[in-house]
Amino acid sequence: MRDLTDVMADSLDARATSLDGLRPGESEVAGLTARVRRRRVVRHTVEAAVTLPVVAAIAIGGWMLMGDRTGPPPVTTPTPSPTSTEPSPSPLPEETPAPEIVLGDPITEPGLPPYYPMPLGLLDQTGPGWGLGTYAPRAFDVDFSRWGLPETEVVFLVSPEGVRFEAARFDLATVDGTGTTWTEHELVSWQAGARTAVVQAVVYTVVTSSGTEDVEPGGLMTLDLLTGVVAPTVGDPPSDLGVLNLRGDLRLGTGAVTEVGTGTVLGSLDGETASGWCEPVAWWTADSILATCVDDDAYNLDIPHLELNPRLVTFDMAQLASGEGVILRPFAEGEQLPMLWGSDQVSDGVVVVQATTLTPGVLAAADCPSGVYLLTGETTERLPASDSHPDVELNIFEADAIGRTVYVESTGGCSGGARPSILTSYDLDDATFIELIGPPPRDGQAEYRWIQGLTSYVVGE
Amino acid sequence: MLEQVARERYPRLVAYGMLLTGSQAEAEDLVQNALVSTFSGRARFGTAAEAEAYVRRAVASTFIDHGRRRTADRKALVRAGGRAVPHTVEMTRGGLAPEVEGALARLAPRERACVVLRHMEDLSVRETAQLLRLSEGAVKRYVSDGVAALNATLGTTSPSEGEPVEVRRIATRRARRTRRPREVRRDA
Repeated sequence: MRDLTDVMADSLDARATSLDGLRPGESEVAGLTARVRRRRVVRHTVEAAVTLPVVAAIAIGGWMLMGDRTGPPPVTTPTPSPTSTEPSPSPLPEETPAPEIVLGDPITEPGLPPYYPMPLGLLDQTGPGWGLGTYAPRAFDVDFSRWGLPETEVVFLVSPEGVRFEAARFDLATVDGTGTTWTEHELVSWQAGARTAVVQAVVYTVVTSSGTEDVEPGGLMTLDLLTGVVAPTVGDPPSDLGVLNLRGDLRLGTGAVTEVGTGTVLGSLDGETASGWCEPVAWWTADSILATCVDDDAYNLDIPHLELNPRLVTFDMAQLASGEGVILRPFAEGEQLPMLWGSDQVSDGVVVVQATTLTPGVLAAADCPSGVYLLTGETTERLPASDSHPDVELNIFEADAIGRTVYVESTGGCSGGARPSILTSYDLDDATFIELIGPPPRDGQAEYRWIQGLTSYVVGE
Repeated sequence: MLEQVARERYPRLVAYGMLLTGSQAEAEDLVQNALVSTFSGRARFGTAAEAEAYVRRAVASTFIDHGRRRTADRKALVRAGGRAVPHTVEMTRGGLAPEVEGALARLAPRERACVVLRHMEDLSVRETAQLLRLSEGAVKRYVSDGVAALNATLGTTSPSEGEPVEVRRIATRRARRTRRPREVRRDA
């Protein structure tokens, strides 16, 4: 008598054979990729709601500090190497007559970048440029069929030179009656020098069989960086979408600019405008935005992106209302077209963007960022964060400009392969590039299997 | 990766969907929704085979979710005085596939999904319950009833639930066979 499982498997094989040659049409594939891209953008935007206002607040803080040089003095730390990826241990001398802190050998631990125990008194000496990062390493399981679970979450205190200190640690995954669940802590804000940081609890419940994870943002908590204790705190999690202008009175959301406080919509780039089909990139000045525009709906057509005449366009608020912007410049083959999100304004007419390289025949729905660039009205300069890490194929870049320092969180995933994030800083004035938090080290793996390390970060306000 | 899976794995994914729907058109809709769901999510894949395994599971969960919506729609239609349209199944004469698809079509949708996941995907009762958002008890009952009905219709045998089940680890086996160095692709 036949076995049911065998019969079902043979039936599947037979049906697949009978359908051999069945393919979705080009337009159907383009439609699928467009739907995926939009859902990713929406998901990213929703997730960014947790961090963007904070980033904006940090950016404002950095801008104000530039005008107020009486702020906290910079901490002098070991001389940064222009391409340093793994700072060597060295003393951390201070400008003030604080006792010199001598570091020994860094701690190496599977899944974590090298780090040091946090010396007593170090936290008090931190200033602008210091940051915090949460790190929860995850890897594929042994046969690469599904994600493993994170077992630990470490909160690193990170110096401007990329020296990491363990500030707190949490054991993660537990199995309760409903499945595997754990709570991570996403950094929301931190004042450099302060003993506590504000974090948001995020509860993950994994459906192991499907690889999907239910993500439930929780309330705000105060994390004591000396004891590692978290406690509920008063306040609402940040929820507003979008990025504030440097003046802080206007917010650029997904396509629309609104007034902070009143919520009045000043204009949007939703759908077709008098300037074409446009997507916002970043604030260009405090009263204008930078956008890319094309001739037609790039995501619902089988027309390669390049053939839709992509161009950079600026809109002030009046132009945004009318849809008639000012063309800065067109793009040609091989040039870098900024993408919808991941960009930030550095100063008037200067933005840092993730961009795709325009290639003949490639549809907009298939675009992946090729790097992160400093863009002006006339020039495009590739930044070092674009360069590949040996173990990580980088094709997603999210930039935050704080003063003249550009922080970039780089990761993979646009082309399908999960990769951990890398946090770097780049000083636009002296061209110093530093890897602040890298991916989990290879640890002798023949095939790199880490898919997550850094999960959130804040730069001290 | 999305384009690669959509182009290279499409017939097999649609065939899988037809085990659940009995209809090629519905299966194609199901597969396309599952592709979008899978590639919009957090999971990322090193090979098309890995992705296919995820999409298959998404096909099953999407099928049940659509069933929930169809049920709600039918109830609303009945309340409004309309007449619910029965779920239709395409039948092609002859061959093993139509025979099995026809037998599955006689099961309730949840029974169908539970049997397919347990016997084609080698999921545990708990994993099946989590994926379909059912209780473990319900999964056991659906599988038991479904397998009994299929055995009666198809003249097959199957170990009863609770006993060791030797199943064909199709997805895992294929993933091992086809794994290759990751490549840089300009896909979604």
